[in-house]
Amino acid sequence: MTTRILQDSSEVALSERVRRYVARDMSEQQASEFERELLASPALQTDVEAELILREHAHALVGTPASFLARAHSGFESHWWGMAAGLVLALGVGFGAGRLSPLADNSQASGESLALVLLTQTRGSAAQITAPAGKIFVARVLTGTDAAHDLTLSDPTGKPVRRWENQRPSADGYITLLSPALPANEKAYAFEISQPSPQRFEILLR
Amino acid sequence: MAEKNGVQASHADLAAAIFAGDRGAERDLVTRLTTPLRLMLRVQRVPIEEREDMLQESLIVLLKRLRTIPLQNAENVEAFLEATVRNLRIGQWRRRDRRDQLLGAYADDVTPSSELSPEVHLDASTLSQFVRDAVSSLRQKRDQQLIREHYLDDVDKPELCARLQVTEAHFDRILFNARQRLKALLLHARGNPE
Repeated sequence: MTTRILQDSSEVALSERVRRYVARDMSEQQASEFERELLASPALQTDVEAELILREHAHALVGTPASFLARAHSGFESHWWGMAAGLVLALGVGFGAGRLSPLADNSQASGESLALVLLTQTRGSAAQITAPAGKIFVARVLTGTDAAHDLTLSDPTGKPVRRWENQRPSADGYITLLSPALPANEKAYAFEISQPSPQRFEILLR
Repeated sequence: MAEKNGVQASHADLAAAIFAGDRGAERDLVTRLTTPLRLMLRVQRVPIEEREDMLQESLIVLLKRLRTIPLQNAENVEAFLEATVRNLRIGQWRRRDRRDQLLGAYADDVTPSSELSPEVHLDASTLSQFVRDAVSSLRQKRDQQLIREHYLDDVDKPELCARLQVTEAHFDRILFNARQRLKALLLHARGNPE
């Protein structure tokens, strides 16, 4: 019995190392040591595969009361396509009328339960965008590379509110993210891309 | 050289055989190292279009070394390969022309194992269903909630432990249980139930 408990304890400790390795929550030295073990251990390889799958397919858990994604889900389903079509229409009209710059950031929010915020890069200083306070919103980031992106949304004090890792753009070049509802603040929230190349957007929640 | 005296040959055994000119040992070593290398490159977020090239280049560097200079006592295959991948990833000496030169000269010698990871064998919807099944099979609703919030909403461990009033050891246990269930589903689907 004691032996089994010790074995369990050891397995759980290893499991935590697997979680931290895949989450890249290890020092370089710890990661190197872990990788040497990984190269030699088929059992550890299966653990790492399972952890990667849990992370990469976590979206399958949408639809539960526990997550804000679930709370947003019904709204997302019913509004997303209509709003996406609305954005395309708005951009088309804007370009056609010559009133909307291709580099201009815009947001559309009012009156909808789910707002769509388009993040595109502006030359010079950091772009500042407006989004609705207290409402979940969809952020779309236009990117010029197919590489994996790491993104962080931080509050005005710099505290991370939400992180997205390993995000890749769809065929049209956009990464689409669902932000939690956040309170209004006089100062801007920051939407930062850390990988593959640093980029920062400021979002005012009003 | 897959076995030595009826026991699976160690990486050190294979390294020694490669230095002695055993091409079969090279194939065995490449086969064994392909899966963990692919996992490492995924975790390190090497862009998918570069992974196979970097995988092959890492193995070529390893085999070149093992063919010409035996590993010293303090060295082992895993340490050498881990350092090689790290250096390649850092990219200080990973110029495109050098890689093309290496791949051109040695590509026929090093064909990474065609063994596919379960993600390739199983389509995304199947894997998603496995994740749902693994999590919903946890008995405690609180445990299911913890998994969802950690993996789906990126809520970190200290915050979840405080809010759900579980110890960090219990948090580790819950994740361990979920992953064990997922592993069982994956192994079963691959025809290799434990």
